[in-house]
Amino acid sequence: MFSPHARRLVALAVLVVALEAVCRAHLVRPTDLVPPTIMLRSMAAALTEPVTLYNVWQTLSSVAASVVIAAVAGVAAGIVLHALPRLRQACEPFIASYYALPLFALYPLLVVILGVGTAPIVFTGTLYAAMSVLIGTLSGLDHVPPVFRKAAKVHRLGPGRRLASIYIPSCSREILGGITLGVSYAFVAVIASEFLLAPAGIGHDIADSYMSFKIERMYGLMLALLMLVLLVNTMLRHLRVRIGAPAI
Amino acid sequence: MIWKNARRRLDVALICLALALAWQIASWKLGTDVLPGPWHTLRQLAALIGQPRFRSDIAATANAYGISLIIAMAGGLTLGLICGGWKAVGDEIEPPILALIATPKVMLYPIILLFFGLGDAAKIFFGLLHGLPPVVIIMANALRTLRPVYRKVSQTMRLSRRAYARHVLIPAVMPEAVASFRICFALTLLGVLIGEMFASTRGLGHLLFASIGTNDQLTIMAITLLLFVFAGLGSSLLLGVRQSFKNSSA
Repeated sequence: MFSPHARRLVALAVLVVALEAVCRAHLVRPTDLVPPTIMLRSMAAALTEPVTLYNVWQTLSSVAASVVIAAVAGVAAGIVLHALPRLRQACEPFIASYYALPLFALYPLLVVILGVGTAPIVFTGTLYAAMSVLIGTLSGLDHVPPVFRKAAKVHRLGPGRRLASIYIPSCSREILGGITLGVSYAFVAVIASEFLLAPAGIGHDIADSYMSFKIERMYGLMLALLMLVLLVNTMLRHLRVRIGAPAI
Repeated sequence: MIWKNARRRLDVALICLALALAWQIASWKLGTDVLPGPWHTLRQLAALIGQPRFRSDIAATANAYGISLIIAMAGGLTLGLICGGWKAVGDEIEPPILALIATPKVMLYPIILLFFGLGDAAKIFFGLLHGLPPVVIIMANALRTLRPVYRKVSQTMRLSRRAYARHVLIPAVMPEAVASFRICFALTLLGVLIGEMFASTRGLGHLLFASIGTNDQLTIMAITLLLFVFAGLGSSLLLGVRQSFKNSSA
């Protein structure tokens, strides 16, 4: 009767209406949860403030910088590890346990090393995003068809030419898949770092609103962040499907 | 085979040694106050383990982590089987779960704190939020991509539902289940630690957060090292289990 998309929209609408009713009937305290209409209103109000826009810009630019650095570093590290299978096998336990670490706990250390500002946040984002790019690169290089390797041999290409002309183009789908996942990880790391100690960014703004009991503003900013993250991730998911990137 | 395993262990040990060396050199360059070296960190870790307060923090984290992990694995497995077995249910449940995976869950901490308050419930919930979704998605995919020949063979052999589940389905999806548990193992730990950082007064995450506040680099490094060793050992163990399942089903 309904398409899955329409069913999901109806379910979301029902949920929002129920939430509105629960809040308006004072079944939950207004200091705990505010109605969705107030969330939307405070989101719209917050997004007209230059400070909020600056914070959004700060977060987005940190994520973008992290992803660019992670893409370069992840691909380079993936190529090195693929070329040295013994090293790769030895590194496997480290790769497997990498995402269990709260790397943003090292933020104070990074502030001392890199100074106050966006550099420690970008570095943390890079640390999180680079691993998914590395895994994507390894997966791609593992699946380069043998005929491509033979063709490279027949044409007597050097290692640099082989990588640039054959290997990297042939595994670009997997690398792009890793980069798109890296964007999600970079968001997680950047926002977590901003929550912890950073002087700016949307994560900092949410934490600040919570600490100063501006609950409506906090929910408005959370809604804005949620919508931003979902929009970016939906676009990336479509891109992954379009380029046929495998799940990593 | 024994020689191969021994060589692999030696390689891992050499990597650890190289990392420790790089860490020590970085410590000398930056100064031990900024980045304590591996020896100082190990000594601090040993000193911390000797303190009853630290042991109670480890116990608090282990308790919350254990509960969260069990619920995440069991819940994820059940939901994954439901989503993979019934397409209509999967179509409804999987998109919000995928959205949850991509969301920076740390931003939800004020809400979780408001609803659960400071304590174990909040950090267990944080662990669940991180650990459960990947198990659901991986298990649903594992069921969906099961080779059709398995079902055909079981039908040809007229296996009962129970026999099909026991002899075909479970062995076929087991490597994927263990792979999802490995991801769950790491992410649940991260979730519980984040929960403790923001929504708890006990545990290693809380101690980490307090150390960040007091700029106690030595304790930060000691806890990070402890977590890295724990996560590395756990992941390696599950990697080994997955490999043995793969070998036995090959």
